Amino acid sequence: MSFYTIPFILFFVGFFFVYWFVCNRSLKLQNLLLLAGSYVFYAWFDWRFLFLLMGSTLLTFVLGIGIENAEATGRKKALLATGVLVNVAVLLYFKYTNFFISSFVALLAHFNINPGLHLLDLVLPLGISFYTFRLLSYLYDVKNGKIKPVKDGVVFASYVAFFPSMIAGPIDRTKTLVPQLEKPRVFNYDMASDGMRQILWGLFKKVVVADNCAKIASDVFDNPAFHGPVLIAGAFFFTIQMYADFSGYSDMAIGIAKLLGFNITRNFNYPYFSQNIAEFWRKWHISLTTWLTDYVFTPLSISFRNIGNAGLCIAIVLTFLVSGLWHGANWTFVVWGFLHGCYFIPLILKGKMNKKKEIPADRYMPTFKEFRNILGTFLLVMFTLVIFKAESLAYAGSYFHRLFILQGASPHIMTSKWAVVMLFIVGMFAIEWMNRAKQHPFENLQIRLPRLGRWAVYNAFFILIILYTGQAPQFIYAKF
Amino acid sequence: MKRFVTSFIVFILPFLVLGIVAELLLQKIPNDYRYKSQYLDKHAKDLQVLVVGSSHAAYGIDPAYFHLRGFNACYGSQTYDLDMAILKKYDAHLDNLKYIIVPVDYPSLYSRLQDGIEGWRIKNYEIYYGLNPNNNFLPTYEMLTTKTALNLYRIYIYYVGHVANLTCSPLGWGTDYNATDHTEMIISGRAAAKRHTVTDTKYLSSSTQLLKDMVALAAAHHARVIFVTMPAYNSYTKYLDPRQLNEMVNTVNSIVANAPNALYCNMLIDSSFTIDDFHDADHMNRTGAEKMSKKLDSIITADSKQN
Repeated sequence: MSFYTIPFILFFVGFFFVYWFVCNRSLKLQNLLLLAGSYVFYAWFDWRFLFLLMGSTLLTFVLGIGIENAEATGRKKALLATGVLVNVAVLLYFKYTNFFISSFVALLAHFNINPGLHLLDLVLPLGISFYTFRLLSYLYDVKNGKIKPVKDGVVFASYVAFFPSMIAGPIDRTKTLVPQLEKPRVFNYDMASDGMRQILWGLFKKVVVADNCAKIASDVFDNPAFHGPVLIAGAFFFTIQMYADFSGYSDMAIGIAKLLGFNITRNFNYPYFSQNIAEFWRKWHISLTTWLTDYVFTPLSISFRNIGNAGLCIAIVLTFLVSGLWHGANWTFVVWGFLHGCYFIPLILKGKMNKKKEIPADRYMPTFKEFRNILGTFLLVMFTLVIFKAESLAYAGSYFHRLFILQGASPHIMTSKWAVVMLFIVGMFAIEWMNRAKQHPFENLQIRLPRLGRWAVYNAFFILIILYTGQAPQFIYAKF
Repeated sequence: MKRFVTSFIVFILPFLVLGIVAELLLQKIPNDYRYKSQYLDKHAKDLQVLVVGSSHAAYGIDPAYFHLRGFNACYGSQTYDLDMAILKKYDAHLDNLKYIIVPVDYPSLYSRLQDGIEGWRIKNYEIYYGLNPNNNFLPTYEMLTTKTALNLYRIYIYYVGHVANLTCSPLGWGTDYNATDHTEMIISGRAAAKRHTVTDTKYLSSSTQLLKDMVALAAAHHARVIFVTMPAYNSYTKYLDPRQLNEMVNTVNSIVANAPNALYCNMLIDSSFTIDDFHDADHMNRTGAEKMSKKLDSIITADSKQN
């Protein structure tokens, strides 16, 4: 039940009316409906894993209260450890068991040993990486006294399973979502209209840009006969696909949440306009980056603080290794994370990691230097995304090897369709560049354009979306 | 809230109306699925030979060469679950059925339409046959399963260009595989063999059961089943995995051994078929289909004399 399928639209329209017309007088009822709706939404994908989600939620809820009530620090730590161990063990089991088995078997094969281990027939529960991180940060924050434990089970379960951001984030923190769940929600026309506009922009990015790029990227990546410029183009289209797909999903999730009266965490801030890798990570998958900063990087950098910049370098590389593994159980993700960690080292050594050099929003064009920095950062990201997309490190190696073979570059696959897709990409970036100070390009459109102009924009984008929609929708990050 | 709902309805309504009109227009455009289901609705009771299966039989068996009244109900990538669904749909009407021809080809025991790249075809069974192979609780529509740009193009070429999308003969045989240039045969054979060689055998047992069910369905009509492995060119056959090939042959042989109303004809490497009989390495052209259909007709004639 992806966001732009008929079952979801029917589900949401029904949900929206009951939520605002039937349950609007009682906060308890609204939260109960939100929880029931979230569980229906989750069970739609695979009902068996609903029990896993409920179990993890219940355990974390009880442990959160237990931590608060425990007086001895040791007991608090023990309860936290229990919650972390159980939640991480579930994640490890479903996501990484086969990775560990296959890596172990491959390692022993080098010594001609066959341990007789077989891969398990496991299905990854949808959204497990996202909700596990929510649960872990909740426990840590309660234990460290940053937040009070949630006493209302329905509120807590609604926070964990909140359906707009359940499948692929943003990873909302307790302090962002729970206070909103605890206070009455009143329908706000401006907020709901803004939500609709953000959904429209997200849909455009996903359906028109990402899905068209996906087709080209897959054609290039799946064909080992291509060389040279075609492979550069394939990597370029995948880099755009990743952004348009994931940020498009996030825009839709945020827009849907706004329709229900919630402001959830912003996940993207035009990352491809970044001038260095640190800025890129402040603007890409923001909710994961801040999570990793708070719960992995900061504790690690404190542990290594005695060894100065070297400690920072180690902490950042380790943090990105965790980020890589979070994305998937494959060595390609580990190497992807490792490279991103390494990208930070020159910035740390030059003391530029935390320096912000935003291009002023009122500036029409970047300077040559800024453009060079933006392009350089984009190319660094593009390079690692080849590894991210490759099915194995060997395939990524072969991709890079073929990239430098210029003879027989198979330009025949570069059809006029590519030009049309390029037009969409340029259009998307031009609109985002001009609106980079806003949360999304259609923000405050009611102030900036007269009604007729606004409706012309809505219709033009909606027609583009309709023309390009129709194939099985899938979001890249939904599989993480 | 009232303002929000009104604005939304005003915005969406024209698109909804246009979508419904487009859907109605699309469903009226003739296509092979629509034609074949309408033919079966009308003539199932008169049919004596019914051919089911995928593109190998769709292009390789022309019932016009049969002495008995036959019809080809095959489509590209049609798998046994869908063959069975079609047979079940018309089961009560097949009063004169004497033979069901079921191709058993190299990949057919191991696949389901919805799993492959041709999965988009499933909607045709739902829209034009009224079947529901995926057990969807919502009905399927052309506008919701195909890119709108393509749908608008289909509407344009049919209603403005007056070009129909029918690619089968009146008796269901596929007419658009007529390549005479065989330069691609070598490459396409190897690629097709690779594509058809499987590692996942999860459908083997259910496919076997479906073949047995077809035999039982035929028996209920006092009809017989002819399992046939369609001919293919050696640029395809030489790349086939012997293990998978043996498994296929053994499976069919074991079914036939226990079913008095079934027989098996393996024509995969029949030397009477030459390069001129093929459209590509694993599909026949008009000449090949004529030769194949005549061979099948003589098998049917001989078999009906014996039984």
